[in-house]
Amino acid sequence: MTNELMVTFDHVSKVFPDGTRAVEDVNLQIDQGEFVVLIGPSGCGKTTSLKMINRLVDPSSGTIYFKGRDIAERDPVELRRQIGYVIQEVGLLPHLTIAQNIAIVPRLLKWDRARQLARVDELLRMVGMDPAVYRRRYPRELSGGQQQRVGVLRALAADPEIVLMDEPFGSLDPITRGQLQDEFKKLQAEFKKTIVFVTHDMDEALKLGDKIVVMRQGRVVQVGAPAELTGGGASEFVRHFIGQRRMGGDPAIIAIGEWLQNRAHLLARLPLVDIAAGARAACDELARAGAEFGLGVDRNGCWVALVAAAALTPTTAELAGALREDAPVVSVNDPLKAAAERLVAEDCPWVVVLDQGRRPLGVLGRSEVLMAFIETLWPDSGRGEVKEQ
Amino acid sequence: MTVWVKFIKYVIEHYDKVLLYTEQHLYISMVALALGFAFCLPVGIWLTRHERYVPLVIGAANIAETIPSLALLGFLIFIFGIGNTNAIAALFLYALLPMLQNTYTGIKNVDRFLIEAGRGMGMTDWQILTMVELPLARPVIVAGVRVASVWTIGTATLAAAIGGGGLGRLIFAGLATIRDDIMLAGAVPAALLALLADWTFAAVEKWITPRGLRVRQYGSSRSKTKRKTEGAVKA
Repeated sequence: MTNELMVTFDHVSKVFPDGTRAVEDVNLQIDQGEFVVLIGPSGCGKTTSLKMINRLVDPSSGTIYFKGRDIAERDPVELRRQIGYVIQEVGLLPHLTIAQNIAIVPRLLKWDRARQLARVDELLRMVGMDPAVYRRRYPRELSGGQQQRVGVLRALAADPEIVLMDEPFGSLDPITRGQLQDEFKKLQAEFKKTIVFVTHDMDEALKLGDKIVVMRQGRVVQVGAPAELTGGGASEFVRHFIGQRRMGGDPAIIAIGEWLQNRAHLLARLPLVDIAAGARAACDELARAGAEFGLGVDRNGCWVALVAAAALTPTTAELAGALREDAPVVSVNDPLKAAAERLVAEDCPWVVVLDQGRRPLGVLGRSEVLMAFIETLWPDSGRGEVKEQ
Repeated sequence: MTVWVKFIKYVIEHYDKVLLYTEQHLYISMVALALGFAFCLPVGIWLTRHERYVPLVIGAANIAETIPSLALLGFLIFIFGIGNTNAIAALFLYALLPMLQNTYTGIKNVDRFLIEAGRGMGMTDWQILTMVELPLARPVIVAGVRVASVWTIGTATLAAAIGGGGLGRLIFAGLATIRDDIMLAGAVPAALLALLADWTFAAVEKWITPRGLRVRQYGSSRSKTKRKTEGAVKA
């Protein structure tokens, strides 16, 4: 059931009467149970896209399907009652109690009163708000965080399959925001609702989303799992938007080259040795550099093998004996994980990094690879820079 | 002092007359007010949905307001003849502005996020009006009725000038006969009626304000749904 399509955008565009092209040719598929985050700078069309799902905005062209049915053919009122909706401003009705606010959609759906009340209590307990205390309070008596908790409960009240959230935690202070994000993630793990979540906060998107849809000027720029975006797959704009600071993610996905982008100094340079030039030239080259090893390349500068200085003397005739073809090698396109695996498998203190054309760039030591793991897995941990050697 | 003694004496001696005119006075004002309210509530709501007519309708109500009362009463004789009907028609026109404006402003000032939340949850237009807009605009709308009631009761004294009833009869009679006591017998009850109306509607306004808007706010001023009444005519 997990792969059943919940919402599909098929070539959807929206031009407002004033000529603003808010959304342009968006194609998007949202699976059942998926947590999709729409993100982008303000004015990128993310909120408009969201509001088109519950028909608060109708597309100028294109079609949106909800569970396989074209929503343009559905009564917007009836459609909206099946879709939870949370907005940044919370929008609790100040003249209604917390219980009445939560029960609005059940009431619109004409549930009987006992069922409404039972549902209200159940939901309040779910987020640790004692029903006896909060049921009869008014929104104004609650803190901003509590109000949005209720706002989320209200969206879940009639047990909709999908919930739309428009920057729901945007106006909360950072601590409360973090709490609500954690709580909501837990709720989501439990109920597996389909969530479409709009934010401009990349940290929030990476934390909550299964799938992140990056938008810019009305278009979808990139769609991917958080790890894919923070990894090598990001486009220039996305990378800029994420910010280098946030290059956290999965070492099994993040490419070595990506991680090295601002850390080229961490690559230790070894002298390049032209294999074709013979043993004597190699020996001189290594002696001049004072290096134990050289990176053996062919005429085109492509990787051949490691050259060990220890196996070379000025009188060595054949270079072949000094070549170590089993030396650990990775490409910049390989994930960080590959570098670690090579290091372990070959029991070597470093791994040779090759560029896309298989030209060696340098070697990456064990401690650098370890640091790469720490930085990607725990991007917020102290920036312990390995000292340049 | 003697004027007040004579006034009290007059009221005691002619209490049936004073009572009758008070009754007429109240009848004229309240009928005009009720008709005005019955007109303003739907029209005010309609205006919030048809913004482009606002300058026209509110402007017209404004113009009615600027016509001197006596002139308006005199003019309406051509339409309604002399008597209470004419007076009620004139008072109706006077009552429009505050009630129309407050109905319109009261609804317009309901936070648009609340309306969007309501719509997003699947409320129909009617449900948005009855479950969101009207409950929140109620105090402002009643404030408009309160202002209109005071104006109407005050202006109703002029009904006597065009052959209508009410406490104006005593005032005009007092003026004509240069009898301060008779004039006061009309003026004082009229003033008291106006005060009474003001207090009554003030009480209604308070009573009708949803409890959720009266409760003490959490912390300092966190809530974003603070009710605004600026722009509305306040009593």
